[in-house]
Amino acid sequence: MSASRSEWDDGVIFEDDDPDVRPYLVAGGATTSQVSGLAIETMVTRTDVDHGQLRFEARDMVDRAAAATSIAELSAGMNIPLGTTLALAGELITTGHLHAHQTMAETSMTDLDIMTRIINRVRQL
Amino acid sequence: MYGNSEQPTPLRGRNPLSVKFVVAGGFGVGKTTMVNAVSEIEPLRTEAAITGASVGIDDTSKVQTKTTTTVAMDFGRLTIDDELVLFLFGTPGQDRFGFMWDDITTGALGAVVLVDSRRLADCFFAIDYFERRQIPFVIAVNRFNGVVDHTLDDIRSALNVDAGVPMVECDARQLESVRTTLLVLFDLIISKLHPGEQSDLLRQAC
Repeated sequence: MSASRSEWDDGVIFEDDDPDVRPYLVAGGATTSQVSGLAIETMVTRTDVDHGQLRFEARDMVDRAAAATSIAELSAGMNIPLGTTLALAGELITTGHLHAHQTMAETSMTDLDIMTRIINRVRQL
Repeated sequence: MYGNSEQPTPLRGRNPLSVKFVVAGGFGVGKTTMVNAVSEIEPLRTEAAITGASVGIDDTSKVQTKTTTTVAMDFGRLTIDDELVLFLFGTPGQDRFGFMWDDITTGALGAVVLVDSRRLADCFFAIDYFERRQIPFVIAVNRFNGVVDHTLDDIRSALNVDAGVPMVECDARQLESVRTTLLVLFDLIISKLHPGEQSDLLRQAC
């Protein structure tokens, strides 16, 4: 388990040939991206930027983000820890391959309308 | 729209927004069951390694190869509408994993603290945490075997929580019960947005 984890840590994060910004630098320790303000519930969607040259987990992540997908879902689906998922997503946002959606916490729009929509949906469960 | 993986054009702008809630409580109290009740997908499990504030950048790879300090947590997803997706995260079951809580709870609109009435102490950490962070929360007492062996008032006294903290009985295996618990939480959040407004559901739980 830990062997394979260090394998992809090394392979994806540290052996990138020409990263503009090192993800662990961007993320200040990789649990939270300072640049893009990513949270574990932040959803990302891939952009039109060509991702044909991306490899391994970077490619996989962009492929998985064809529809809006949260960092947590990517972490679970790709079987990589949250901190690394945040760092990699942060890098792919920096390179323009992913677009981050806002979380409600970022919008300061916790209002009655949104709570009402949530309540109506949960009542249908 | 965003549920369709064939959709070629990415969504732009801020939508869909994501909104987060948290379910906390001791090990085995039913957090994953509650997540499962709400989620439109099979609850997913993700892991976090000990990184971040406690470990320097240079140390990260060393720590990960030396130890197996990862923590699993479960979460689910519920699409509210085209513009809003709800995520419900279960916290790690033991408070020694408290270092993860900031990542999980930052930005959360509210929380459910699931309580096993036979093991009250298991939820102390969660209650302290949400009180300190001023995150609205409800206390949901899980009815194991369908029986709560203490009254809610007894439990409220034992937990020493404010009268403004709603308390409900909850069997995480029962959808209706989970739904009611969440609706009480949502009403609590609304009452904090609009002080003075209190739904009947919330009034009963306080």
